[in-house]
Amino acid sequence: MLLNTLIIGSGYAIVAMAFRLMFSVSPFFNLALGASAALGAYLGYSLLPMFGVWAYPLILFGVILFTWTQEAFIYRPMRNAGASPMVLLVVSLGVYTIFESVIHLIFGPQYQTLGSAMDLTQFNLGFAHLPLVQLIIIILGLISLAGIYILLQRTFLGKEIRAIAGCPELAYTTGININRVIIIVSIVVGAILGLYGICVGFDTGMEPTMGFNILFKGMIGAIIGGPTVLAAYLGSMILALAENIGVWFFASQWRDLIAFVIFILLLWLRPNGIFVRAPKKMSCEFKLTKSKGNKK
Amino acid sequence: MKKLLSVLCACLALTACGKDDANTVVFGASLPLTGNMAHIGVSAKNSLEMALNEWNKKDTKFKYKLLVEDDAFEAKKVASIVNKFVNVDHAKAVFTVFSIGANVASPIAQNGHAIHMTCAYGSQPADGFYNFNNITQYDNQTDLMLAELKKRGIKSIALLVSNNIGSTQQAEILEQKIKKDKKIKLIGKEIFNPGTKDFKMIIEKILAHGTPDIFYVDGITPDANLIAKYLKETTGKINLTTINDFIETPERENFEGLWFVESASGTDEFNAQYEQQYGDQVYLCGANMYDNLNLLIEAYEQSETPDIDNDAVVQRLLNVKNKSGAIGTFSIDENGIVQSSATVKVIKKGKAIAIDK
Repeated sequence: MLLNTLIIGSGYAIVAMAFRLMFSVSPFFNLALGASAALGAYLGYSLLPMFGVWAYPLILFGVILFTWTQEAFIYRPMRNAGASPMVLLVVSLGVYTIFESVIHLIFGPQYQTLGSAMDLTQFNLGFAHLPLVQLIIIILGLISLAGIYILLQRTFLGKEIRAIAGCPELAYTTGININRVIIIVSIVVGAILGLYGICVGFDTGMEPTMGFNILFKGMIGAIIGGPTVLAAYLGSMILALAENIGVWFFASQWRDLIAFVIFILLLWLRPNGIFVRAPKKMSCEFKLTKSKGNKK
Repeated sequence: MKKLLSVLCACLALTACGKDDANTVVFGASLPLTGNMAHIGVSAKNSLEMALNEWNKKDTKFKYKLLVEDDAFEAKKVASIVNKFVNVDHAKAVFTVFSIGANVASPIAQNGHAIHMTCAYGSQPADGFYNFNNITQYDNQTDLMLAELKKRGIKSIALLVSNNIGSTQQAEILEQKIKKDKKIKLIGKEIFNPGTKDFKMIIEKILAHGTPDIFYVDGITPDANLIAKYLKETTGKINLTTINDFIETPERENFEGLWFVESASGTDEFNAQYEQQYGDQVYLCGANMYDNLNLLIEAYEQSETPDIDNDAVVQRLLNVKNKSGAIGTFSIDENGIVQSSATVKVIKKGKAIAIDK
């Protein structure tokens, strides 16, 4: 159960961390992020038979371009024009729907897989067999966790991201180019989701609706954990564990029911996330006023 | 105001132009042309059109027109589409596939006195005078499954069933027969929700109670594919069987060499004709829909007057016995259920081949 929790939880965690990173600089529920993961899988389906291993950089480039294009040509102009997070959410839903329809038109509606080449490689752990692709998902989850943590805590870009997440107005007044930071973050997020999408294509296969399913559990993992990357990772693991408990101790069809009862219970007890203390009562406006006051 | 009236008149004129004359019999098909079951819907649509084209080349008493709309395998869309067919388009007959759509369509067709022909599991879709169901029934399929399990010396089995009405009903009948027969031990039964992607825990849970000789899956695409994959990962082999699931998906790589029970489907001649015409294989219900349309048109062609009476057509359909069609030989019983026989098949090079061949 613990190994399966780690495998499933790592998948949720990759999406949760990517979602959390994007949300920290562009605070709306970007549903089109699910499309980025699905694009990774479908580009893999098209390019891997043609280019073999050389397809991977092309797939990543494609997904990054897709995520960047959305940010540069859709969300940024709308944000600059004063669009609210609710409007951006609806627009991202539109982007996702268009993407899903295009995938449907090009690849058809049926279930497909990226082949079983990676399934054949398995690691015998004694108590269980671990396929290569699932090992890669676990490693990708850990690399994403470490990478995003280092990015946020040890780099100047990370400071900028944290400043924007804390108070965008204040970050802007200190000279941080918010649009540049969002573009860089969208590229990082696109790369993470693209890689994960390829893994999903190998592991459980793909269908045009896969993007939303991938994003859904990731978003819940991020909300359960809290606003930090580590919290999103751990929150995803708790979600996966709750699902597995549902399957093991109750009936399989109760998996989601048990998971969501635990989810609501945890958030009822800790509304800001399991791994977060109650927030300090200091709003962005207050910080801004305080900052202006200091200048005087 | 004059402009507005002109536009309204033009619209009315266009509407009048679109109306079919009294000699045209309109049929409507509500099929899943998008979504996970689209390959089934497209196959059914092609088969209906194939039958219609063949009739249109003949000198027939009436003209026949087929309207097709996409219900995306959603019950509420089926309701809206079938309502439109019956009440707006005045369709004389409607077609659906699978119980999600058929259960919704049958009362609408019944109330509108339109004939409803479907290919769906369960007896419910055929409830009512105007409803007909053309798929091999649970009893026939589960009897054959149990006989084949015993023939192959299977001593224990585990059931993995999707939480949808067709799958749960069929698996329940099989479970009851296995328990009554007492020759095969039921290791476990797990019902999972449609859309489940992770079957590892479900399989591990069953294995914790014992290792069955074979797993039986009853679900919707891609359940069987994923279960096969997880079985390979967990146990190192794919000891899996099903009723129909292996041929409901185009991805059959994991099922190579596996046997299963298939409801009456296309004959070799029909399958070859379909493949030649559409460049793709025909899926479950395709041949059944081809037969459904042929049966209907044959029954309408026996009408003497242009004012087509559906009650008389229903009576003619109920008299169909030992008829040869795209699914082989079949009869229609007094409840409007097509009686046909399932066969045991094996997947070879991605195709379902009858064991005796």
